[in-house]
Amino acid sequence: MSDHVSDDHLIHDVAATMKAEADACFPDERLSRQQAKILQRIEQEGRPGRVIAFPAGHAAAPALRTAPVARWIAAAAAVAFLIGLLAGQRLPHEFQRPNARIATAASTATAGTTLRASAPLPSDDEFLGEVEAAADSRPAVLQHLDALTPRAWEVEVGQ
Amino acid sequence: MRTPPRRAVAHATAGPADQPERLHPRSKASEVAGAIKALVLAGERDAARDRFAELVACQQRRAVRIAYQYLRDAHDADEAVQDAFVKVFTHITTYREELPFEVWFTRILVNGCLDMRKSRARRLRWVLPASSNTDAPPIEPVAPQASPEERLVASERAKEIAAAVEQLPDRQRAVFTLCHVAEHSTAEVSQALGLSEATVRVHLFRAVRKLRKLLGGEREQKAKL
Repeated sequence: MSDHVSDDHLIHDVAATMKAEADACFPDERLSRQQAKILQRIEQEGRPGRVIAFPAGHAAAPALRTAPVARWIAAAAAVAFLIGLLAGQRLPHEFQRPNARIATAASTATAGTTLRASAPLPSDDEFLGEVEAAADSRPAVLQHLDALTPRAWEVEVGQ
Repeated sequence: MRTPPRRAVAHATAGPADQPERLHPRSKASEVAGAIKALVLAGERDAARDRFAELVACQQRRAVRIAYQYLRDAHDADEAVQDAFVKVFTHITTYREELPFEVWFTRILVNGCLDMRKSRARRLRWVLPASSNTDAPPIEPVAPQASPEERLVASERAKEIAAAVEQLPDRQRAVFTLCHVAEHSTAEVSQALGLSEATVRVHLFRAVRKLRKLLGGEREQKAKL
């Protein structure tokens, strides 16, 4: 009988201690906060998922819509381009391109060189001088570029 | 079929705030849970949510006591209790009204606590364990009006009891907690833990015997001194 009583006392002591331990960690304010959190979570659970709109930048490109005037301008530009091409082909050879004259001069110089082929072969310096003379006949715009380009003999001397 | 719990003395001496809710014929929590289920089934979710606050309020204290004894950490216990209540609301339509709500809820809570313990054990494999639980304030089971000597003695006793409870095997501690802290009957504990009632009684008997050995032995030693 006394064992039962002491067991009951023991159980009571242990249970009271365990409850007190938990209750000390969970005062009423904490329980109130916990309850608020639970209700908040439940509210969020019920809501349907939020659909985020797809970024506008990635939306499909709108169909190209142009005014009739713009279309007329484009057509006129295309026609003018074609007319220009045809006219360019019919114009005299001299008016085609300035480079054409250069090509003509070069071919004349080459012909001169060929004529002198029967004569004794020129030295390297002479040959290169001729090439340089032919190059001098280039337009002024290309002469700057030519000035920057190293000569073959200069490279040899440098070596 | 309900087995009267062996806690008559504990209830007689406990304050009115500690009185458990009687589960026969049907507890208040079971009635509220049934009403919430009906509201959810009727599509009145807002009304069900309002009613759920009532259910949380009446089960919360018991829930945190159980969770704290399982997890021994206030933050984890807090999270486990929150998760359990959210699960209850989410699955309220599966609640069987012929069973006490407390059993269903305890089962959900205990399973959640066990899952959390497993995940914590996995996590702790990679981190150093904390030296002590700084979250828990000192235990003071006695009234704050007690004299400093009484409070000191009570505090020492509380420490001894906490150490003794710590030494119980998991299953014994779980059964003891559910029977004497959560104040469930052995039949309810057997349903909540999925054990036979006889097994629950055996665990409970062994837990009490071990506690008596641990705490009674110390008491006798002190008496001899």
